[in-house]
Amino acid sequence: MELYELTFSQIRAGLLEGDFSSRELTESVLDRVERVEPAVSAFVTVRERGEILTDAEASDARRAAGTCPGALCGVPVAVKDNISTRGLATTCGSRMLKSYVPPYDATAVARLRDAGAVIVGKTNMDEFAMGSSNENSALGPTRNPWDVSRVPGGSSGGSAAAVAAGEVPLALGSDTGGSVRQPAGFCGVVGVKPTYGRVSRYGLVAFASSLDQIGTMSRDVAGAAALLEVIAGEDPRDSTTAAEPVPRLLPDTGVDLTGVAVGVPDEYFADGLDPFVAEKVRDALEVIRSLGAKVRTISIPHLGLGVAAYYLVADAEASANLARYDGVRYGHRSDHAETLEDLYRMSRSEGFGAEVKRRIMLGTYALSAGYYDQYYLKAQKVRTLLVRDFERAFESVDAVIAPTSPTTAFALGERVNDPVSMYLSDIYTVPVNLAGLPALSVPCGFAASGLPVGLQIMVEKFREPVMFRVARAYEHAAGAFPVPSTL
Amino acid sequence: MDLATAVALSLNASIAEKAGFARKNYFYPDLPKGYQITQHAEPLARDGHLDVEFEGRTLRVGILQIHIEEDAGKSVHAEHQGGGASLIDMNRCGVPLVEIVTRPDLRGIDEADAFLNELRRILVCLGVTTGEMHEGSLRFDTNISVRPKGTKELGTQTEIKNLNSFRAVRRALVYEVDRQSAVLRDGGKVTHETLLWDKSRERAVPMRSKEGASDYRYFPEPDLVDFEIDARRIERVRESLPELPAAARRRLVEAYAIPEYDAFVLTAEPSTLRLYESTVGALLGRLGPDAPPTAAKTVSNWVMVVLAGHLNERRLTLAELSARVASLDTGDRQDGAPALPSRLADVIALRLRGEVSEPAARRLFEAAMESAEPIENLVERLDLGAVSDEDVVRALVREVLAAHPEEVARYRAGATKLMRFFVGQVLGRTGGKADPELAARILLEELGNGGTT
Repeated sequence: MELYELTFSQIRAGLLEGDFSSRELTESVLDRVERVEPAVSAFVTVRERGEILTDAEASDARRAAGTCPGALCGVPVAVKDNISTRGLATTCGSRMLKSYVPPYDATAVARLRDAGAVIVGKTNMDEFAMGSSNENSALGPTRNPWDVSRVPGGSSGGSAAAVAAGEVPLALGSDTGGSVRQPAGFCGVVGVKPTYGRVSRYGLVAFASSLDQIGTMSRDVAGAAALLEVIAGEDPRDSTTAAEPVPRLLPDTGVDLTGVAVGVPDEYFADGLDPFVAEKVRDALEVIRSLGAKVRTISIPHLGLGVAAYYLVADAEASANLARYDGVRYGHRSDHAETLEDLYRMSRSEGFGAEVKRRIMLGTYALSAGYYDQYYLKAQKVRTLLVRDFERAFESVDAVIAPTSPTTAFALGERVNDPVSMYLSDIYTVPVNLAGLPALSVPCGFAASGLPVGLQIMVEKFREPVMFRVARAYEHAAGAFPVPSTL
Repeated sequence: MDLATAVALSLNASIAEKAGFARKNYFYPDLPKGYQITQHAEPLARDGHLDVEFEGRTLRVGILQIHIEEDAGKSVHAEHQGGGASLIDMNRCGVPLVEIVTRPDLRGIDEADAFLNELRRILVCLGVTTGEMHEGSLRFDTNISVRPKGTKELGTQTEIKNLNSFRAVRRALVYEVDRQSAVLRDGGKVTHETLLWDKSRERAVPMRSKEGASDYRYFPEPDLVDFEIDARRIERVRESLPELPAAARRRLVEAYAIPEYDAFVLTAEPSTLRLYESTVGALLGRLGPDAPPTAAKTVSNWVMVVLAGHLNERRLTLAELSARVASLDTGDRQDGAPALPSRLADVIALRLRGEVSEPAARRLFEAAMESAEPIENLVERLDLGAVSDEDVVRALVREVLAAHPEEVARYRAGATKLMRFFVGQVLGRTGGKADPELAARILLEELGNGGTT
């Protein structure tokens, strides 16, 4: 077995026992990157090999000196390309920021560096995190490691594909409407969207500020939890971070689920759900029941309004958040502008891709005089209804479990020209963002097509430990998810 | 939030229980995010007032609202190297500011001036702003309307922006009142518009109107959480409020028996007030029971005239002078006052004891600002001790009268204004150290004597 194939738990034990060094692990990972990138294209930027290995050696030295006690010391990590990395290009998958190199680290990245993680590079994504397939990247699409004719999902498709392909054991993504969980489900990895306010958004290029949250990806539950533990916690640079202390996210409670009540909402199993996906999710629920959990049917009555409300709120916020790309100070500037108006119009026309423009226009429209009440305000009301739906659900259950997505990974090009069907692939993931809840996707087997299926576990705000407990118990019972052998 | 709350409390406004922020969306090069964070639906505070002393009466100016927003950058449209260039100063971008909106309660330029000055004094006193208008730390937009005498209804107003000095406010108001009056006299109508004050041409020019109606697409700012302002927080701010200028003025007049005008000047800046009170304290400590009842007034004169002149001549701020004098300080003082007021009290004490003449005291003050030498040493080294021996002065007087027989004759014939000439001559012979009052008294005696003998 090659080192790149190890899960985070195995890596952690190996580094701790001295079975291998961070340098050896990192070399294996970098070789794997070289081998599979031509097929997968998960990365936008891979740092220079020498620099990465220097970092790995530094972590080995810190570990030896006892100054790097954390679980992430010497572990290679990939970072989604909308999370600012000092001195390392951060393109957001956009022509607009193709040459942008941030002068500072996002808080999450700074915490990774402090913890001794080895940053390998920046992963591909839908432009400004707007998309569900990674086809909206100005730098070309990423492909699903299980079937390169399929999309990896999006918008954190690069991170999901990199982890799934064994290019890196851990990765950061961002989840505004499912952008960590959906690609995690499509690529067969664990993807976590933390409670809104759990992780600082400082340095995360803003898409929809009230929904965005940096999330973690790993081939095992322990990795996603360990990575989150490092980046979570209050940050004076983001007033929306919670003062809530960060607990041990993966409690030592074993793999027994006795006393845990699980709710399965009917609405998530309605029309539009691929029967193969439904079957795998039902199988997983049986496993969870067999571990001692009580499983009962519940209702999230307003699920069906989620996608519409989400695209109004997210796009309204995006229309303001993306106004800063005006060609004046950084980012793409048109060479042809003669007047200020031209500079704005032409820089933005040239710099943004079609989907970003569509969202900016939708969001601008939703906030316009005369439409605000009808669209933006109404969407906010739906949001309140969804918050209440979940509050009611959590009165009787500890976790809500449902499919991550209605289908498995679809083919490249299949939905590009049908934005509504693309948006509907987020139907099961957006409610959690609207309600500010934590959720994760854990692989629950393969559909008949041979593509992975994701199981989504949602819990109350700041109850991530419950979510990780259920996920790990299931993972333990179901067995580790492999790296695709076809690559 | 605390500073804005202090402003609201000082202006007697009612404070909201919750402060939320909104985004105001528009494109402009001095707005790097493409939106401004502001308070849209619900301002921090509403319905306040400020009482301003104006021409012997109290003028109550209503405050409509006080809200917080972030500042934008400053566009400077400069003729640059032959071609027109627009430069953007980003230094103030994102800096929080409070905007205070008055009700239309000001009835003339002098009232507006008095109000703005009082408002500035309060804001500086609260530490909300340095009050430096040329730095943009304090800015005014004015709304002006005129109406025929005797009518009740307010006319159509115009707004003038870009006023970066008190002088500009006054000039712009004069200009706009004249312009609107002329329009109405000619039977025209004032257009509701926003004007920019052009300082160099002394005129207000209409702002380029944006194409179409502007739609700022306000929505709640998702990057900031709503801010709860509970009663405890308000109380904490209230307890930490400094003494406001109006209260300080009343106190100074009562405690030190100085004229209202003096109190007004001395409370204009918190640093001036502190200097004044420390100096009075230090001086009274030095003089003890011998202190004349006018000692506090003497200090006021020194602060307003001698010290102010010193700062003005050297283009120093009070803070700069304080720092310089403190840096010279040897620290062996016992009065507990900071270096500058302590030094000032040294000089005034000598003067009030009659140990130095007025001109000598001023020279001594200048020297004391530049050196750490004990004040008595300075007096000696610079030979500034008063010539107060009556016999010495009388001898000098006689010399002077003997040297100017013509002037003596004219004086005796009624040209009493020549007294100043004689005093000057006597002082000149002592290098300014003789007490002019003593010289004048002896001169009167000697000239009187001459008259009768």
